[in-house]
Amino acid sequence: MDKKSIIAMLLAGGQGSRLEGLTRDIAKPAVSFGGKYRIIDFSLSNCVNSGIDTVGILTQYKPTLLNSYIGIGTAWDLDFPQGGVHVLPPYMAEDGVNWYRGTGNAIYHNMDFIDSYNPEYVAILSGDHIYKMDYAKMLRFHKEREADLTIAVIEVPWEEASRFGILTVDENDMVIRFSEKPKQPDSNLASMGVYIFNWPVLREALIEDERESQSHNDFGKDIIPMLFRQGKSIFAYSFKGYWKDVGTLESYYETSMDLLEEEPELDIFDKSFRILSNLDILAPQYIGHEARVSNSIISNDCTILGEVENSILSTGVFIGEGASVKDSIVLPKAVISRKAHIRKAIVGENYHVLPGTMVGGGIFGEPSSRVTLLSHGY
Amino acid sequence: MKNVVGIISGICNSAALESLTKSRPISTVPFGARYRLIDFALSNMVNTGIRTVGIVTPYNYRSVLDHIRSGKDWFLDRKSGGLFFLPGNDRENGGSGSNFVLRDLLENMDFLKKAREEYIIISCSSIVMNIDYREAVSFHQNNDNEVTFIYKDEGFKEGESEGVFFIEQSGDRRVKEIIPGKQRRFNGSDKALLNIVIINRETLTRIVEEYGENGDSDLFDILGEMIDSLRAYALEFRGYAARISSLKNYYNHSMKLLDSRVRNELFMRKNKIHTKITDNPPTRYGEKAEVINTLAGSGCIIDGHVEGSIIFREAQIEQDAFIKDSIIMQRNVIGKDVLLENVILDKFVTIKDGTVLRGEPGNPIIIEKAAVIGPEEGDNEKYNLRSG
Repeated sequence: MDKKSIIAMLLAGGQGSRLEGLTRDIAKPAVSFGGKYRIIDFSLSNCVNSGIDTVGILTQYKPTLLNSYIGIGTAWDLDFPQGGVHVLPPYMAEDGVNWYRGTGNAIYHNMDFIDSYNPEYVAILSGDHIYKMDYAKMLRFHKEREADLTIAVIEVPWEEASRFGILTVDENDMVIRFSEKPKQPDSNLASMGVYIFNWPVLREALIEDERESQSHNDFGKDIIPMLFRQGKSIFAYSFKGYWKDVGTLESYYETSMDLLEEEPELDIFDKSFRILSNLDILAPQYIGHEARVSNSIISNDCTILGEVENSILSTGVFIGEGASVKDSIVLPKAVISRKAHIRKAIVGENYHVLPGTMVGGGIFGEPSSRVTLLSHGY
Repeated sequence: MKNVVGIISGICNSAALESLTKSRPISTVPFGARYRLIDFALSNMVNTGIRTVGIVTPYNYRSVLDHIRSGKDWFLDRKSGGLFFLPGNDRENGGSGSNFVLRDLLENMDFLKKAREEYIIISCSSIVMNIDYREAVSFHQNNDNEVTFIYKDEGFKEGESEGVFFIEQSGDRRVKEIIPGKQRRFNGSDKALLNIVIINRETLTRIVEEYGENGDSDLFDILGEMIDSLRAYALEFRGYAARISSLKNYYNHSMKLLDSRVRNELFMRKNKIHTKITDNPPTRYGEKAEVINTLAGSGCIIDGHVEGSIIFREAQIEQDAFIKDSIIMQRNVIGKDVLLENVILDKFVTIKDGTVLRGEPGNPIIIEKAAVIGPEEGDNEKYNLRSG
């Protein structure tokens, strides 16, 4: 096999339990987002837009929908004869079944896969972030600095810095300190969970970390701190742009609603960096005689007979006559029956809201703070 | 449907839609916010389980190749069978009036001979319908037919039926006569053929070899001549079918898509109409958008007032634009304060701020592909155009 310059390993096995009912039946990367997308579309599209043609996708938690959604990567133009997309579930070996115990351990169990491509570099990505990023630029930076490991970072507001893994760097962008959720941060550069490793360095580190019985086998907690202690050259690549971890229901809601800004930071209409997805065959959307739609994103196969304001509707959603949906996110194939009123809510996939239902923050005049989730998994 | 091969004629009526068919054949005329007319014929074959389809290419078929490519979006990129392009002869005049020119099939005899399948379904590409051929194919097989037609009573009025073939049947559904529209008798049959025929491969091969050299003979004309010697039967299609044969009925049939019964029948069934996948974002409705009774594709940005209209993929409609009873095709840009009523805009049209285009009901104004319409720089008069 020809030597590859870089391959990507996409961590998509997380349960995403803080997304509550949205991940009862499906893995977090498979959760619908932004109308027609699923969360993993962003990382996969980033790969193809960055010229990475080989992606291993590590799945574990409830992978059925995710696996069939990914297929062989055709929808992202990633079905290549030498490379392409490979779904990598945990497997049984001589020593028993090896569930992935941590992010590092998941990669450890797939070292043979990576070796088969014999790459110089391995990008470790998360399947649950919303962002558009050209990894080729980060790789160029990694090569220029002759780094062993490059960590993508983003500037976060100082008051939020204590929620993230914070990196402190010197004037050459070399990392001089790590602090996980520091109480008194001395930097506001947060790790995005996007790493480029020299494969031999990562390979050795994974083997060493496995021997460590106390280790969680996690990149952030164990492997990167170990490399730091060993004095490896670790750099921070500063990403300028929009990046969100949609780990909680609130952040999922806020990130979705960002798309409704007048000039959204995340431009899904930009043809030069398209977000690709794998969709069913769908009819056009129909807006009815009595309908009202404003400041909203509406996907194919929707039928809107009622009122939609400041909301995001995924594919195949039905809004009945006299119904209203405001400040809400309605996921694929959900039905909002006639005269139902939904405020500041997330309506899960295939969920049916019965006629006349009134749900959501502020609907009875109380202050509307929390997002309501309506889903089968709630 | 292992025993059936499909052939789609891209030729029928290919120049009938005035400027819409100037730069493209009728097969690739945009329809229904995200489709091309050929999507219906092709999807019907695929949904019936046919895995080998030949497309007889019309004149100027760049857009057909661009749209269909490998056939992947119809699951026709197969190792065995799949999609075949059959270059047609008929390039210059667009074969107006003809449906299935036998000479085109003669040129592609290899395709017919190589097929191992016993039956062939031939369909034209300008009828909008969602049909599963399974029932007709089993009738054809079980009844030992040589030819099976599909017809529909479309309520054609006197003098409207040029280019349409009608049939007379006997009680057992056998076809006694095929009558070209021009010769249709007053109070004659209302059974109009839907330009779909199931035919034994052997019978078709024989006809093509015998008549293919003979000028521009049309398969339906020849079948009409031979009708007494053929085991020819016909079945009625009771669903929705829209025959696109003029700009006027293109407009009217487009507007029928705003009727939920028509939409349900065409798009909401188990058998879906496939089209080229483009990976657009969803459609964005702005703060000031007012949209009612409208069918829209993906990737549009709509800020204006739209009613009773069909909006194709990636159209942009700016604030205070007013659009009524119009067809707005892919990547049209409609400026501020524009008024459009009874208008068809072909793809890539730009309508500058303040322009007014008002066609008469039933007589839409049509704007050619990629036109830029509106006042010149420094011209303060509003650009105003009326049809008639």
